[in-house]
Amino acid sequence: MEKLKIKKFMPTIKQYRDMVQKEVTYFGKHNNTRFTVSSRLIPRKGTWINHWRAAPYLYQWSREEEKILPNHYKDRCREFMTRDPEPVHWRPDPTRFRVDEDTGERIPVVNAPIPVLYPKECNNGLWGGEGIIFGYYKKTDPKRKDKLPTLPRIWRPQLKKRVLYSEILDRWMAITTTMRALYLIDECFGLDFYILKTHEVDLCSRLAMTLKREMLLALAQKSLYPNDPVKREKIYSKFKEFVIPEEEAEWIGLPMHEAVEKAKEMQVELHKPTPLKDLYLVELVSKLHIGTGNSPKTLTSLNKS
Amino acid sequence: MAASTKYLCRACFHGISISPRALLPGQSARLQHKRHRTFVMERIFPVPSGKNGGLPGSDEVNELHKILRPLESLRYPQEMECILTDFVEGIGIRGDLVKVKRHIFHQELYPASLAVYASPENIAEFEEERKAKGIEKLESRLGVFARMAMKELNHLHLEVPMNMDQEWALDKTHVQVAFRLQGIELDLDCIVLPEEPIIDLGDFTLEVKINKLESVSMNATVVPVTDKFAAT
Repeated sequence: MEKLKIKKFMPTIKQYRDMVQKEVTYFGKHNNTRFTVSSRLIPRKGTWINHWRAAPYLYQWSREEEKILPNHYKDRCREFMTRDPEPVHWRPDPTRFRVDEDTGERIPVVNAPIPVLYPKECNNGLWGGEGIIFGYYKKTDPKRKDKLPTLPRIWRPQLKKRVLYSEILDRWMAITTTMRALYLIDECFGLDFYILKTHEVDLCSRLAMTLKREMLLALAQKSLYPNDPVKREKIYSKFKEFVIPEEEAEWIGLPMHEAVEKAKEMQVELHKPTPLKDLYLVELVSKLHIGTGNSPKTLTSLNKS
Repeated sequence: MAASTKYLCRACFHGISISPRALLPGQSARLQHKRHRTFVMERIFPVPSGKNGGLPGSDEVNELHKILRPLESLRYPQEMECILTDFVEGIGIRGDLVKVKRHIFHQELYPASLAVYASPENIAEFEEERKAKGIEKLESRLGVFARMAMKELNHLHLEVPMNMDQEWALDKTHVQVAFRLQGIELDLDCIVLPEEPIIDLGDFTLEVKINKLESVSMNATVVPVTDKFAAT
């Protein structure tokens, strides 16, 4: 019998990338030299984010969790991951081509955003899309242009603690903000309008999303101003355009681990196991009825119930 | 109102005076500049297009593409419009659409519920209120400066210098001159003297009408000129 020679087979980088991204399996010359990728390297659902986009948090979920989660929540997450935010630290160039000065060549313009970092702390405040820029900086001094080195530098936003008021929640909050966020709030005439009007991508913080959820819940349940019916009607009519059904409002801006917990609880409630003692009781009763020789109609009705 | 009075002077102050920082050459402009801005950056070496014509992948980007230069320093406007819900000294009265400094609105007026945002709904609401009250023109009510003038006159004590060598009876022109010496210009119509004629030295009270709507009572004394302006 011929002896099997198992050769070592390492896939190339391209093959490996295909394995990871498209879940392809490559073989060497012999079938026994199959190379499998470990399961944790297979990307999870909801990782459409490209490396040009920076975000303070991500939504990622596995295949099992996808079956449980509601569709509207998944759609919102998908939109957050794929949508481009408004340019804050850069200006997109509307022209399609630029001309090279030396050669006269027409080169297509690429509108690549500048890499921005959103630290953990921006989830506790309203930064209005501002973040920390990491890069290199070249000083321009006409006298000694060649000698000046390019140095690494950080540009960071100016943070201030301000007291903001939400009309719907009737609550004063001390929140770290930037000048941009304050300006945007003034443009929208208040914190509520700012948070309800702007998209999740541009809000760029967990705190804003929790506030959004609370506001929308209060509007859906009409639980604002419990002691003052006149003011409740007034403010409800003011924010009428933002009202969405309560089932959707509960899910808005939930972090993934909380959403999964909630979905699991809902699943448990949907498929409640019937206790065995009830089943046995029905069985027993049916047996007893057979023994006494009663009419079969009652038996069927009992079994069905 | 009691809470507001604390801020009022500061609010007036910001408009008129120059901060001590501004006197330092060069430094103030930079600090002001730094405070309200968003960095808008630009690459020195533009990014090439990717393989498929779109954005390049992570491996196609160089370290040189991280060299940045400031494109624009974005400053946000320092002033904003708001509607006052109460009388604020130095700024306005209820229902006024005024321009104030942004930080004054955020830190002082809005927390004290002295002002609201100038949204179109709020503007319409205050317009209705104004019509319901029957006030049509802005001039037919007392504005900010009228109220400030009233307060200043209340604290003032007037000294009317008279010549003791001659016989005299107090006239409106005498009072006008006395006001002018204090630094206040008045019309003769504004001054209302007491009915009894004043011939001798001593205290008396007079009334000053403001905008022909309200009158302020003032204390005054008649003093000899020689006391006030001593001969050299």
